[in-house]
Amino acid sequence: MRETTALPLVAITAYEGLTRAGVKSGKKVLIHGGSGGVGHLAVQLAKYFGAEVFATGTGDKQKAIIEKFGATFIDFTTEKVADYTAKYTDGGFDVIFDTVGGANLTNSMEAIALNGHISTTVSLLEIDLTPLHFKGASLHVVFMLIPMLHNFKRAKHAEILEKLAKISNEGHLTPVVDENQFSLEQVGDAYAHLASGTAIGKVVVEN
Amino acid sequence: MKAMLLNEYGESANFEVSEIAKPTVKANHVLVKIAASSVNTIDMMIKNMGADLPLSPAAPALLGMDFSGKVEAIGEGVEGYKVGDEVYGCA
Repeated sequence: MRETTALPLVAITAYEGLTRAGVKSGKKVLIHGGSGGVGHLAVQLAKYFGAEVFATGTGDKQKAIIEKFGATFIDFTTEKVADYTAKYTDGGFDVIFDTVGGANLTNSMEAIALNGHISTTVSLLEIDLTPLHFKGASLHVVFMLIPMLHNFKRAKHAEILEKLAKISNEGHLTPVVDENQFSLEQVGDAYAHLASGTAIGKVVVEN
Repeated sequence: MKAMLLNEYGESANFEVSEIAKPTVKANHVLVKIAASSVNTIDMMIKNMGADLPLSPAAPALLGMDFSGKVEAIGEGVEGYKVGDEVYGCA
């Protein structure tokens, strides 16, 4: 139950971002923030869909998570976008899932292939889309709360959760769960632990 | 049933042990006994920002979206689930 409850919101987000961007076998996929909550699941799902997966992060802990799930690690603090794009692709990544988003979308637009697809979860900003224009690339915004907020296509999320349960039960999707245990009465401590930025994986509360 | 409620929002606000009415199952719904829940960044933002975020419920608020648990009751019209099923979801 600890691992299961770690999945729904972030796993649905990962699934929607990848499928809307048309991930499939043979595509080169770059996940920005590949060790994060959405990112580490997107890495696993992109692998499951047969893509060749690359993921950005920094530091040994993030590198370990990214490599454990089978992606090629890119240290964004030491490798320039133009350099890793030239190193790993012939003209850019087919799909980029930018879970960092915001100003990082500029890096995604630089690394995307002609007619490629960028998905992001963070686009609350003004940004110059000129690179997107000249590459004829597409930008997909994933806002997972829409079905709940607007009572819109909720059944679609149930279908996705059924697919994710199957993929997970087959061993292709495992969430990283923070080792600290919190009871219901300790829910405030759980929120504080997430806020501290020191959690490694999903913070779970057990009743 | 026991619930941890936020009587006010804010970074320093505390969840307080409370007793609330147990929900009864409605048509097209199932009632789930929650075994575990996970904390998402959006939950933390709701706690810290309250009404400044358009999706926050009014206080006293019961937060949380992701859950896992067991189906305890089945509402009228529900197909594909039975009492005792282990389920997960986001609500």
